[in-house]
Amino acid sequence: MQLKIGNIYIKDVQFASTTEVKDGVLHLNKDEFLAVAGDDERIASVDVYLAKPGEETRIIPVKDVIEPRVKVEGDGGIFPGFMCGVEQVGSGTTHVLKGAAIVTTGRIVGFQEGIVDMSGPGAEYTPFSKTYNIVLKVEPIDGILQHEHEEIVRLAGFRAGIYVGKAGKDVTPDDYKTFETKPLVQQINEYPDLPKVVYVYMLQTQGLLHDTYVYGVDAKKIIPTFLYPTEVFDGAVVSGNCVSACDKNPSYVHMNHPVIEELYAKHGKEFNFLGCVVTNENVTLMDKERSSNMTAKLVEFIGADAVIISEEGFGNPDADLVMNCNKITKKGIKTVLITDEYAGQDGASQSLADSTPVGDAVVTGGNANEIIKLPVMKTVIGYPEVAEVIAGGFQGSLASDGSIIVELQAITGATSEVGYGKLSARTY
Amino acid sequence: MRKKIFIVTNNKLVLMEYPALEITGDLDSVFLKVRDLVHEGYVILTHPLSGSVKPHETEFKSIVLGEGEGEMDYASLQLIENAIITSAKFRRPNRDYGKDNERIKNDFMTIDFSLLKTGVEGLGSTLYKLVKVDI
Repeated sequence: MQLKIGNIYIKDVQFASTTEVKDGVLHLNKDEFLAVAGDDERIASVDVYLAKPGEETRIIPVKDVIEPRVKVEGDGGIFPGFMCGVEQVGSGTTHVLKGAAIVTTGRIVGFQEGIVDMSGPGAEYTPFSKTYNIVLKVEPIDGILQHEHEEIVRLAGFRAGIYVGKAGKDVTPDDYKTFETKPLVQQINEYPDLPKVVYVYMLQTQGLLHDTYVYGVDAKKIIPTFLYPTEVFDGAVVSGNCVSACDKNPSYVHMNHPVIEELYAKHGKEFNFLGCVVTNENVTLMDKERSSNMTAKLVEFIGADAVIISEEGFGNPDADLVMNCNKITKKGIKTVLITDEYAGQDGASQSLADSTPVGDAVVTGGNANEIIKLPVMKTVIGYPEVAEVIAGGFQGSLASDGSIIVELQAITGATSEVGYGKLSARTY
Repeated sequence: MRKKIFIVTNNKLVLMEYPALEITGDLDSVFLKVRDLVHEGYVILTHPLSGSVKPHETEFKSIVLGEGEGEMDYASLQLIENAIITSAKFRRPNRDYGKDNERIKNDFMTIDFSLLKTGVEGLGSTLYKLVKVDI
């Protein structure tokens, strides 16, 4: 399966009478955009704001981030199972408005998290301070419960992403990147002398506000399965996970998966990247046993010599991470784990809620308990009043001058467990 | 024969929907009761650290346990001991959300209830029977 990604680099975004990309500037017809994004009878109102890198702007609370993409050649469309049918995606050509992002904000629950600062010290911790953000604020009608509210905001974001992505359909990309994974036997035979690597892609799937979808299927109901890595670039995996801003994977991160991109970069040189096994992180021990057994069986069956395993979340998912590591190692396959840490504000506590002696190669995305002071911003988009009820904050977090002291866990993407951030640690 | 399972909870929403062992107290009270029950031979069936809302950010917790095999289950003991250590790490003074207190409490209860429900449904009724216990 081969996918050509055509990047159209976006240097600015502006409201205009026609939605189009001209000379690297994304022009957005506000009314049309809002009509598409708000096209759900459960929505009372939608609004849109622009937030650009370097501005003194804070977006809070961020629910999801979506990259505008459009399929120009090949089967299916972006976000299969949600915005189109479930044709196999991941082949042909996809155009990307690189540098633009849809950011959704909504007050789904009373306690809040997900801060994106476009400048200042907080901006250094989130990748979405560097994108030209189209912020979509969604208010549902009265009487909508939390789970439906989450779905309404999620789907509005996808509709917005599809609408904006279409502006890139007839634009000539600035560059192309081609990614290819062949059917298993051919792929193994292509580089017979290189070690075979599989990516074990763990998805947050605990339930309400903690869900991820694969081709529209709630991933807590899947048995671990194989994905061609390019399927992910067309939005086959999307986020419905609104909790734990620092280490959840927004849909944007799934679509730009840094582990997959890095594995492709070294594919055919240092190793032979065979593909991805997606698995879940359910709450029952029985599900954990079943999924980790299936995952270990699949990677062995595929013929992996080594796997990269990333988790999403903390606590419950640590058990899945450890089970995957133990069972895969037992089959004689090497593992590298990617996680983040909750090591206390001083960094001195145990980092995870579970551990294993065979987890001897681990990459960290940083300590989510680390404290940061965020200065006052000129503009706050979303729901400024929620600054007092931030998850990762504490009594007295909000100072009288309006600055906030929070743990990094409140910042979207700060300790990404797939490495879509800047934090890590090295041992010398 | 189906194994008997039961819920230990301090969440009113769960008690309204399921037969469950009610704990009066905070998160640690639930964890300590579960630890005692593990020592008595019961096994843990849903992860004590379910959910990404961190310990003491929410005090609501529901855990499913079941009959064991006679001897103490060390895997369950390790799970609950690790949860107790984690809880201590996150301990901080209770936050006052002012006028939003009741709404936020309800959100935390709703999330715990929903994750518990997902777990109970995931366990299914082929192997297990949910019962009310008095222990």
